[in-house]
Amino acid sequence: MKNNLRVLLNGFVKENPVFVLLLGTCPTLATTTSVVSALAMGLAAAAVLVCSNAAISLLRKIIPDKVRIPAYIVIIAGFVTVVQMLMEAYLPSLYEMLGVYLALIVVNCIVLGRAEMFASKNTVGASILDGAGMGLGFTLALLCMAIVREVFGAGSFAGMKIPFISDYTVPILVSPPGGFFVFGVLIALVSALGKKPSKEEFGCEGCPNVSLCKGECGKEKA
Amino acid sequence: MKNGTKSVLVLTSICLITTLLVALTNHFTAPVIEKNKADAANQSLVQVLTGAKEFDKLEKPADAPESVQDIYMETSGLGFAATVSVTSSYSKSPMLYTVGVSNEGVITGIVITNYGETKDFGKDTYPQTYVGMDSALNGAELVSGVTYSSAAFRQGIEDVFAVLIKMDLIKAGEKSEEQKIKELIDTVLPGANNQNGDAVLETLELDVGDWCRSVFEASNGAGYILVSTDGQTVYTVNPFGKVRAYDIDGNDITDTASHINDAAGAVSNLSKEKEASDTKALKKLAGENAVFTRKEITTVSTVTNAFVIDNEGERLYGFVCRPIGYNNGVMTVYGVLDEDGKIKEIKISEIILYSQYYDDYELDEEAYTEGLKGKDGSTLSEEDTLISGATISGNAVNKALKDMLGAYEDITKGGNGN
Repeated sequence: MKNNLRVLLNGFVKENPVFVLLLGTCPTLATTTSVVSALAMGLAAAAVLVCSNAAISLLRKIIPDKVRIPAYIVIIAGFVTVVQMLMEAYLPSLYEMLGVYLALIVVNCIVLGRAEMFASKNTVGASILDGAGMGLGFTLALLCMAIVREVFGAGSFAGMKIPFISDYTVPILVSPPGGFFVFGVLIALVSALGKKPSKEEFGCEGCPNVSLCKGECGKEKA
Repeated sequence: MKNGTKSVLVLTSICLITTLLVALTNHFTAPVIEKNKADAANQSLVQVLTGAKEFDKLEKPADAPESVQDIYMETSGLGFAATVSVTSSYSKSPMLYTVGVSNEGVITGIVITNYGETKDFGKDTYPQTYVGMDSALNGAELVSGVTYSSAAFRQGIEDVFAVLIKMDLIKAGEKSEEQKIKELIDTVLPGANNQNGDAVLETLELDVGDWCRSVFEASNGAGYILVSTDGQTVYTVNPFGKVRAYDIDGNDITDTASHINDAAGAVSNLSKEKEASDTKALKKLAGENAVFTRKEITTVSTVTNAFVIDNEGERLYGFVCRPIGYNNGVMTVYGVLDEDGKIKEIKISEIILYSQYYDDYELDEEAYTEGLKGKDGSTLSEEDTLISGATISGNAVNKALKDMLGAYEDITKGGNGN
């Protein structure tokens, strides 16, 4: 039970996909100009993460190693298309708002990364929890970015004008350079507040790819 | 089972299951998405006709312009709405808009649902200038600097009215006298027209007499327009001094018009200005010792000068045409035809006008003009003059050459060249 909770909460801060793992930067910068679009993008990605993690974990013993990446892509693309169709049908204004970035969830590193690093090696239950944790962590990161950018850049929150602040906005925050600036500041903040990694976590032992390279990658370079 | 076969089977199965999942979702969401789209389209219909609630789609005539997508009638009889799709040379995607028209034939509202032009013609303000207009579109102006996009927009509105009038749903609006004169000028002086069919004119400040209220000169020298004081007669004078007269409905009244000689006299001194420079340019093509005799042609076209040339016993014909090219700029095409009416020599002073606007054309100008030599009225085609990436310039050359070959016929078959 405690282990499951740890898996779920991992994605929130310790292994936050945006601020710690630095994944999904493109949608993070593109959809955080407003709180509503950030929330919609985060939840859509979370739904895809949960479903694809569950499916990939379920099929992990059947999918041959050689074709695992194409198989994951097909599964992820299928779920993204389903989410797209559902949003176009039942949330058309959000669908319009997210535009091409919704379809681009297919190539979001977070989704493929969790499939490869977690779902393909763990049980269905743990994979669902990991997907939910990472998805919600992604949503949380987008929300933080969007709140800063929309409130101080446009003087509004979820489209509602905020008195006083709206008279003293910093418009550059809603433009791409402002997005990078806020992104950098938040990464620095999370890094400063977060627990410093131990030697094991920082070294080869803590690397998610250790099972693939068996600690040989550093030696090859040398 | 071999690994390869297993991989193929697993991947194929995953693809099939995913396809089934997507198909199942599509089965449930497709009708909802369709309904959403229909509601969105209906919303634009409601916006253009105040008080409208529901619309019935009408069947448009088979020969309706393609720009008019659908025609709707408000169910309680408030009026009509039409969805329009037009494109211009500067469209990244079709310009889509909805037009509302009352039973009286007046525009009640316009909503643009997609604007994909490279330049904004004022999409929030310009369409609203049409509200309140009838099919005469009296006062509908194009936007300077965004001419092609605004012309495409206006054309779409004209098409909507044409369809509604054809379907007997509204009556045509009465055109003002100024509009009739403008349309008449576009028809009777075709040599001065640009690619949109609009005459490119400059107003002349000439004291012609009480009978005439305004004088215009074609910017390319293709002729003059004189409008009578009562606005009921329009006189055209070609560069050779030939006058024709038309009433406001476009009927030729040359035989009965009372100021034919006055019109010819008013501009007689203006049209000979370019004769010397044109002769000099043609001499370079025909031969320095060639003897030029200026000829008068009766037609109105882009031909601004015509000569019969005697080049040491050889009979040639020389023409200067000035078609309107890109951005209403004037091109000059010098041509020498042989006795059989075939192009012998040709020079185009500047084929690509405003070349900075074109960045994707490829043209070897020498090979281009060389390819036109030997062509006559029966063999010249649009493909011969086409300039890929600079269509307007290519069209202007084509128009000039056709006019040139027509002028040759006028001189030779009309007996003027003998």
